[in-house]
Amino acid sequence: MTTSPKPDELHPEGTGGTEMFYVDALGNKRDEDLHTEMLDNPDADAKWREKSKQNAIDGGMSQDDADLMYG
Amino acid sequence: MWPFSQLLKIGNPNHAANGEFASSPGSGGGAGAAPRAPLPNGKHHGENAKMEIMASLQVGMPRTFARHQAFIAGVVDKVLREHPAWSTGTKALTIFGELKNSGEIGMSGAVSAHIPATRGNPIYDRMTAALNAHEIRPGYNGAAMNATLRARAGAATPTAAPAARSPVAGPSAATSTARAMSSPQAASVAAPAPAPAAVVRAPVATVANLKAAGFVAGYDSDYERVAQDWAPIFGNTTPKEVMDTMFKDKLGDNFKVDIRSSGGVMKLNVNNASVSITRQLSRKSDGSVNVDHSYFKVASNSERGQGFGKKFLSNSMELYKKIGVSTIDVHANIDVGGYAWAKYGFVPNANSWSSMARDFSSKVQATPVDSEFTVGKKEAMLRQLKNPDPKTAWDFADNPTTKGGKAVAKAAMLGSNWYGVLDLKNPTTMERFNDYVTKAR
Repeated sequence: MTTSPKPDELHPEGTGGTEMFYVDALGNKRDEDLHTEMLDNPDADAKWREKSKQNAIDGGMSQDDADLMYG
Repeated sequence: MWPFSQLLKIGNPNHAANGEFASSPGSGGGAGAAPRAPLPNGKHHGENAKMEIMASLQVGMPRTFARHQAFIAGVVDKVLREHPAWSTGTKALTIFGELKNSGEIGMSGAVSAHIPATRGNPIYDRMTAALNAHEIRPGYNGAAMNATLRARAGAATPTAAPAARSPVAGPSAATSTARAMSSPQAASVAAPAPAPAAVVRAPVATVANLKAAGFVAGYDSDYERVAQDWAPIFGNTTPKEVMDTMFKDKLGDNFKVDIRSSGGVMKLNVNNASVSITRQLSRKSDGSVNVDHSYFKVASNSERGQGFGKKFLSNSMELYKKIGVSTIDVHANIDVGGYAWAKYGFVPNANSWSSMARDFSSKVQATPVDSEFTVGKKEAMLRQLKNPDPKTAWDFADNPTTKGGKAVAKAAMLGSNWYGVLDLKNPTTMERFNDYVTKAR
């Protein structure tokens, strides 16, 4: 029976982040440019803010806390 | 008692006489069962061995089939590929034996539901008697089971005949075998006659079509291994379809796609002058496929801000849906990823969330309060982070509470380090992923 490999066996750079990055001029791993287009989505943000608010309430958050944070 | 009803469904003589393998639920496999309607693709039964066998198994064990479809497809492919000259009945026996012997398929529930419908069937009764007399036993692999049955029948050992491979199946083998099996005398040994005309569908992946699609695997033996291990991972999706799906919409030119198969893991390395991506696909114990998003480096400025990541993720998701991937693993710990992957629907594992929640709490705690970020908001955020449910990472990532005009939660998540998974079977997860990643705006 085959099972999924453990994460540590898979990531070639060990403890470093390995998914979607580029290396900037200083040699640092960066990923902002790769995510920007996907994250810049006000419609999705608004939709999921409402869903998360409700989910938080369903998970035990008080209505007052939810209103305070999520509006 | 080990139920053989499933096996009999595969080799049901009444249907096999029509070039079919399976009975429908409740038909009992009795005489006079009506032939099924033509397949949705318009092909006649018997023209596509794998489709028929898969359909048969789906009817016979729907719940198990749903959970283990990719694995079952792999076993069926393997038997059809390795034993093209075997008769239909022998293939069915072998497939059943390998499924049972795999240790991954627990058929008892699904099969038991069909026992009442098949008791009284002379083949079922005879084979059950053979089982109980220890003439054959559960746990046998398919080859051993067939060897036993053939030895009892005094039949010749079937051998592979590559020349007989054909994408088009005919009913003759199934018919002859089924007729042999339908006789109580023949059923006592249940040995299929040698097939005069082998019927099998061509394998989905071959050395030739892997090369033609552009996959690079090293030596021919490496290609052969990939071809052999292809179906359990990619199912019926061909190498060309995989390649076309991953790189459609002009993702870029001159990609080299290395592929390796080892220990049940299919590893893809995608490279060109500016991109290096690693994906590792493996079959899970439940029969579904997991993908580890192991590595995705963009070297040049040209791709990093041009939607390359979004396109590649979208294309990958299309492929994953096609081949039945159930989960994607990711490791987030670069500047934005710790926030972004939660926004896309990835959920941290329990250990990661425990650690993340402590880290985020420290950051929130260290954020000074003011008229915008009030004590009440701060305390509410800290209470939210005490929720042990890892999916709280979504709620936290969506928390719009600001300090100095910037989201406090997002600031806490940037640079965080966690392992997470995307559950492709969860509609809410996929709705979130699609909203951010795959939907055109």
